[in-house]
Amino acid sequence: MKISMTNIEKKYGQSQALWPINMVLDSKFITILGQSGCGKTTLLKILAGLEKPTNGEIMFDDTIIYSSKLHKNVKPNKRNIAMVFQDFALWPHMTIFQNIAFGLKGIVPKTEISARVAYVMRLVNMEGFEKRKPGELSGGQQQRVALARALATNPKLILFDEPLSALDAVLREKMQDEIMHIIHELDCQAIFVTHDQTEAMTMSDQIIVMESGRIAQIGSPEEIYHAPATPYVADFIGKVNWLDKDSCIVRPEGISRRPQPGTIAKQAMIVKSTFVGDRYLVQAQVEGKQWSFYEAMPLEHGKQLEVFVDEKQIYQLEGLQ
Amino acid sequence: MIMEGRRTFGLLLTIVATFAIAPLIAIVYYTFFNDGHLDVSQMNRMFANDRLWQTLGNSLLLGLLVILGTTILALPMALIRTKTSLHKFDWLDIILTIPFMTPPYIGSMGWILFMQNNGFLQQLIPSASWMSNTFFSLFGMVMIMSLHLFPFLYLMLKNTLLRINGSFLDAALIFGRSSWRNWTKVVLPLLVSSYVLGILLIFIKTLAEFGTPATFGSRIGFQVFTTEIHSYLARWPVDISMATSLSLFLLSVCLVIWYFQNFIGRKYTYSVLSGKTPAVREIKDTWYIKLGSWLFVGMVLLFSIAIPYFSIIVTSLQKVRGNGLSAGNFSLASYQAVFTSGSAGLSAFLNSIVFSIITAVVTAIIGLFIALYIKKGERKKQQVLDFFSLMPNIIPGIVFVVGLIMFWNAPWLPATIYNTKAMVVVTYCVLFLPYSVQYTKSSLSQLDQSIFQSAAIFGRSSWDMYRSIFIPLLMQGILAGMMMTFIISMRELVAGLLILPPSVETGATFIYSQFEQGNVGVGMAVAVITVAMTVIFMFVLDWLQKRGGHASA
Repeated sequence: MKISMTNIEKKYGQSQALWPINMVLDSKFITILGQSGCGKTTLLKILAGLEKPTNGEIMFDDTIIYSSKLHKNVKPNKRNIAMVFQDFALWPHMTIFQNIAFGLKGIVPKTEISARVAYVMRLVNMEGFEKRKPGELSGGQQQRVALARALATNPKLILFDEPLSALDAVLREKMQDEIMHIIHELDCQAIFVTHDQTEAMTMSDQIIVMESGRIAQIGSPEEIYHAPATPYVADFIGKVNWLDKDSCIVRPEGISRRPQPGTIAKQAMIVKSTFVGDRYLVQAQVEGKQWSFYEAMPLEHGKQLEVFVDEKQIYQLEGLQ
Repeated sequence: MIMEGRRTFGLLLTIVATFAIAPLIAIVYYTFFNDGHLDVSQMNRMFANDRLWQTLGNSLLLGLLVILGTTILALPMALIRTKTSLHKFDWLDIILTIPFMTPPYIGSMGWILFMQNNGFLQQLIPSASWMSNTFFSLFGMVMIMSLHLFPFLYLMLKNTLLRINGSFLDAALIFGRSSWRNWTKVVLPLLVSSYVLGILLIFIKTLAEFGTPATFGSRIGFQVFTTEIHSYLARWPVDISMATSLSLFLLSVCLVIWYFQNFIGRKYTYSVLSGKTPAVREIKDTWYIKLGSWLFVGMVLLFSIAIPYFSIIVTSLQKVRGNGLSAGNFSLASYQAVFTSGSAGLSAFLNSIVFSIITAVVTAIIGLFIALYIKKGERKKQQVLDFFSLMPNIIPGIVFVVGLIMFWNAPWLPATIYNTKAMVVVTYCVLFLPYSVQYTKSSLSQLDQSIFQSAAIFGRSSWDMYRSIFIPLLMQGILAGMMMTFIISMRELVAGLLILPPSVETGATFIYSQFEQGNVGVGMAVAVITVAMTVIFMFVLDWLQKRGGHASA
């Protein structure tokens, strides 16, 4: 499905939560990445129909979902979408079965509801929990049920609002894998909001980086990492070493201690070496700037040495040269 | 850590037991024992009395009708304040708590003055005189009591609705097929438990209420438990055993309801508190919803505040009541009379202030220690103390007052405070200790466990810990509790009527007796002053709580 937004903006009174946004999305797994307060959740809720944009137009393929000009606003339950909430939002007075079946009424014939519930419960590995109530499940289990509820209606698009931020690190990675797996198995798209850049990098085909109500960059994880559009994106994603302020960068992988053809030598003073598991992250002073790169062995604090920057890996930020 | 020793528990339990439990035991004793022998004839006499069944019927009917009345007022109001564009007017909440904070007998007096023959309504709209007869009936009594009690139910419903408003409702919007289905399957079931808890409390409060039945109910000959108990004790022939039997009966009814309430609370309350604060969205209403909402709010404010307050203020300013609402008939004479030194009104008012301040201070100190001991109430001993200290909340005030009279009149006591002013303060302390315990407990519950742990590690002495960590952190809750205690002590009526030593009056009993004797001007002047103080304290309380919110955010 092609999701197009034209001049979508959102104001709360005088304050501009979203500046006019124009984009077309058609990847299978899309992440909206940004710090808290950048407007990513607002954008998601606008897609869901839970927030009404101040202006603009949204289309799913050729169908107008929202248009301020035509005064058209399709209700959330008629958009053929589903959503997984940060706090799960499972209705506490209903059993798991009732929670999932709630959205199926009128979509699936009555006789097929229990088969459908059983099918999605199997997808998320939660068979046998149908009779429990949400309060009797752990956080991870509730999250699986919330995912099952979203899958049940067979939506074209599933919206995820920071769904994994309430889980611990191990569980989070496991759920990342499972969500990716399920989305790629099924015929549907996902838009996933997160503030965790690693999560965005590992999960998505396309990343939308947002900065204070504006789109900073849209691209594949590789593009965003290797060719950031703005200094903000460069700093926000991964580690970055600035050659020139705000214009010229190299990632830590582009720096080594071995002189090779096509490299530039720089004087560095080691500040510290940190063991990060498989190697050491070395921080050093280079021309008054804080740089970092990777080494197999720790380097002594205060040591002066030469480092070599691979010219091919130097990236010039566009429009700022 | 702090407040955990066996001695502390012993001391606190002794205090609570002497002052709060002994009176209840005294009631049981005087009901079942006569000259030291078991004697159930009192009980039989009570049950054989037709008046008991009449009273029971009246009380239960009143309770049910008040539930209906408060629902009619509170449910639409909660919906208006959460689902329409009126949700942004937070000042409405403070205004809406004014009826609840107004002493019920003053509210009833305002209504009586307004509706009675030749009252303000007939002076303003002479053709409306037929309303008076309709009003002076059970209907009027239910209306007055509902207007007094509805803010309580309203706040409970509104808070639940607000919490549901977050992602629970968003999820329903996405997955639900129709808004009607979302309402009946998601919103109402989630609302029902807090509604049931709310109306059961309303029911208990109605049974325990004395002010309105005493002022309004007596005019229409509608007797309930509280007025019956009062008349057995205060009118000739005094029948103490009848009063204790009735008290015991009322106590049992309240405990049964309270048990139900707990049962429902445990079984049907879901944690509807999701971590996210619900987003405030712009709401655009159609014009008829907006108009309807404002009309409803306006009517409620007119009936619950404007009319009774108009009556008592105008009455306090009138020179001659018979001359009605005419330009030359206003003066501050009643206020002058109150503020003349040595006047009965002034000394009654000052008595109230002194009693209330002492009560506020004493309950604050005892409440602080009890709250610190109870903490989260995880151990048996903590739960026991918690239960006993909150008991006066469930048990009607008049039952405690009767118990205290019985206890302090016991012949074996070497000394007694009965018939002294100390008795009044002790009674107030017993009645209002729960407020101070609850306020302090709730501000204690906001402190993270790590604060106690770091205090235990870094504190040099336990006195140090109290002085520089706990008391400053809890000060806000303690202060709020003190103000609340002060406000309700200022208005307490039934304890004063039954317990005050001869020739001592409080503001409340003064207002009541002036009203009963038909000398309303001065009485209403004291009422206006009391109410004005209450309202000012309420705003200070609100400000205190808001400031606290900012400081901790």
